[in-house]
Amino acid sequence: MDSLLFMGARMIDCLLARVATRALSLASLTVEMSLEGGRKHKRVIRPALPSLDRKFLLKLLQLEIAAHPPQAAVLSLTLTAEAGQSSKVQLGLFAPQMPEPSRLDVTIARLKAIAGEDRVGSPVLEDSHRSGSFRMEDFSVSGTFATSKSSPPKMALRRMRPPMPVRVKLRATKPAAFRDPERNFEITAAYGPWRSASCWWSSVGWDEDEWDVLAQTGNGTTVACLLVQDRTKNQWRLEAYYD
Amino acid sequence: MTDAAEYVELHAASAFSFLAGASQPEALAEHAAQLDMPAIALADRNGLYGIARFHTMAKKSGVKAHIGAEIAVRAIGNKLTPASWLPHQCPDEPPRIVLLCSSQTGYQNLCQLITRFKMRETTKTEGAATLEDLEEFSGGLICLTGGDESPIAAALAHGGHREASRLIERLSAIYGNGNLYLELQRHQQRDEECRNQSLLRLASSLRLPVIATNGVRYATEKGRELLDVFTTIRHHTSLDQAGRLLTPNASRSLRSAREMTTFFSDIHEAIANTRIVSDRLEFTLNNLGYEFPQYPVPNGETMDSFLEKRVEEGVRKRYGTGTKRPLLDKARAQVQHELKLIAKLGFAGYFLIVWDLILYCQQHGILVQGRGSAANSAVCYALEITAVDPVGMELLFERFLNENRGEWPDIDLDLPSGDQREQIIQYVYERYGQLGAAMTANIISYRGRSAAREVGKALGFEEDQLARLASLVGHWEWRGENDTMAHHFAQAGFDIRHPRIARYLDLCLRMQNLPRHLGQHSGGMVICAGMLNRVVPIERASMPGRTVIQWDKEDCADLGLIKVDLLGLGMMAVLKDCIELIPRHNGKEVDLAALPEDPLVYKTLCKADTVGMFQVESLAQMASIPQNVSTLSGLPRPMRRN
Repeated sequence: MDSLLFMGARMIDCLLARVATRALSLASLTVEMSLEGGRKHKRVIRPALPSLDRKFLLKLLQLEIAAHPPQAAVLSLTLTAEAGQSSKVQLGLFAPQMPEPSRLDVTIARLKAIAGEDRVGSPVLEDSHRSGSFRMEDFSVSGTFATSKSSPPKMALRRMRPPMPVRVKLRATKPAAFRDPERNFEITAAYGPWRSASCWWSSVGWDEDEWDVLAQTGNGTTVACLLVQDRTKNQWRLEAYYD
Repeated sequence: MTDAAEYVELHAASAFSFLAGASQPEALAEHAAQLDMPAIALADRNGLYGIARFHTMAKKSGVKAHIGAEIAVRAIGNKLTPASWLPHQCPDEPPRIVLLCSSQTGYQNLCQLITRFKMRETTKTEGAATLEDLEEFSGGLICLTGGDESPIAAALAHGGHREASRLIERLSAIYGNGNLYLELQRHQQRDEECRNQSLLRLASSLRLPVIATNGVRYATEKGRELLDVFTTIRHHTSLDQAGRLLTPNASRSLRSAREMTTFFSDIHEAIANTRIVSDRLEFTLNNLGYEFPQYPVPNGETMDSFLEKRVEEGVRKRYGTGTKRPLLDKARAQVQHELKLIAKLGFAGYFLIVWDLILYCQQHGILVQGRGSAANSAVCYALEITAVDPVGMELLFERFLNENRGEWPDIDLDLPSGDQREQIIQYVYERYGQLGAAMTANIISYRGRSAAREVGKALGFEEDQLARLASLVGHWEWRGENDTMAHHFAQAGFDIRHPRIARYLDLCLRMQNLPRHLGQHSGGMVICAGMLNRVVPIERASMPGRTVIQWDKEDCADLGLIKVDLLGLGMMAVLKDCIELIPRHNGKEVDLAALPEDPLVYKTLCKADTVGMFQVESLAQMASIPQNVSTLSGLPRPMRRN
């Protein structure tokens, strides 16, 4: 890693010098390594804003390589860059101070290295029938703000991630009671099953029945929750609570 | 135990909804019989494309076939799409209602309604009816409001009860009290159930009946996979990318009465009403209301007497002079025999219509020639439809027309390809009106190669992989014992037991023969003086100036519609040139009806030296040792659809 960064630092210096002469900054850095065995390892680093900060870019490079280390010995290293306009932001005298973009980038890169690439960012709903499916996208601030009035939510669903496996007692195909590791629940009303089954063409296919249930604990507390039965494995789980 | 006769499925769409249904109409009828359902209604999207096959199979299976269609309606908003906060790719489309034919008037109205909005378009497209169209052609029809494709579903989502109520009242005013049913479907979806509860409240407040259907799109659950593939083809995407375009589960199959009664155990009225509506749907295709074409004749004449006179003139012309004079009495006796049968079967109008086309061709210098079994008829010879003397050659008339065979006459006319043939087709449109004549359809179905490509695309295969897989599928219709897709794949080194390949192969095989889109037949025209649009819907063909009915030639034959084939033939232009050039250069007149016997012709055929000779140049014909010309051209024939 040290030798890679040593080489990388020199190359970044050269690139910075070239863009600086044109009053530009580095908008992205592409790192390409030729590995032993003939394979290639390519990563792209794209800071939130174009930058000329050598230390910052080097830190991003370090974190990127740490998060995605090459799988074999590196034989050669190529750095290519994309130039971009330097950021010019007029700060207001009384406006609250925003976090520096470069510091945010470093923080996100650190988080990605710890938690995983696909676990940091903004959650976005997916175009899928799979209940609760989402993916993470990079943080981005759009310049527009919602102006339309949306109706206040009638009910909120609090998903459990990961869901909790439960044991369910059935009465005439309907769930009648369930038990989580701590408590027993008596089901007073069950609505469903709401069936969702798709992706039959791939290994990530699912076939599930959902039940909206009202359940009581031993101490008389009533909860509204979502039970899901995986029909292929015949396993039940407590997926969410209705607030 | 549930009585199977208690429930009738009144909203089933087949693959003739073109990429919006995944089972053949025959499969739906057959499965309904297996479920002991007394009747089933076919309601395809904007058409009656599959009803002939559906009717035939239902009759065979002992199920009553109800006829209807899902009709797109414009100007009452768009079809329901997922909520705006959910990512989806569902396009805006007009909503659809279900119309079922309760009587022959209803059927004729449905045909006219579909024709009206299809013909309003300037090009071949789906089209949609207006509320005014619905109003004009509302008699004899029962309206079901539809499932998630319904305008009521969209109105409830966007405008709530008030908007939905207003729309229902509008439909009720169009179809009349008692002919509008609020449709309830249960596919185990929350939003659908929420809509059902709203519809129940609306039904109660507006005093309208509710009805249960399953909005069927395939016969059995397995059909869902094909429907998903069709959906990706329709929206030009792949299964991985389709998202909410696909159905959320496999619940749109044909359900048994027991299943439906369980699903609607809390709304028994909705199940009971299916039987009540089914009993009201008296129309079947047994009484289509088609009449043979009428030909306008002068006052005081009937079509039979007018035909008789034209034939007598023809007989005098053909047999009155020259070498054929001795055959005159025999020819008169033969045409009398034929005319008697033609009059008995009521085909005089048909012969006069074809004669009229011949007359037009003669007046405009277009060489026309009847082919096929029409050559066995002395009436056709006298009317100059054909040029072969059936009396002199002692040909059997019953091969062309036979009372016991129950088939309709089929006269094929060969015309020079190109502009002259188009001139005749346009003459037919002009003579019988835009709604009186149309081309027969050609149903374009999936074959091995097209299925292989489309399924591969849906599964997200790379282009080169797709090309390789598609190239494994043979071109030809004929299949030997080992000429199967599975065999080809195995030969090419694919492991057909691998789940992905096995799935691909299974989908390709199941997709075979399912309709993809509607084309037009190469020359078949159906004529029904001014009333064809009451027998079958007519729509625009892709080719400018052409219209096409929604049935193919087999459907027409099954339902008793007679057609004239106006076939383009490059060789006719060559013959025409010969007829003009031979007298000019050799001083001999040529009469196609009286060609001399030429031993050299037979000698050449026997040597199989027939390259470049029309009709007798195929390898199969060259490989045969012919005894005479009719054997040579008659043996190698394409097979008829089963």
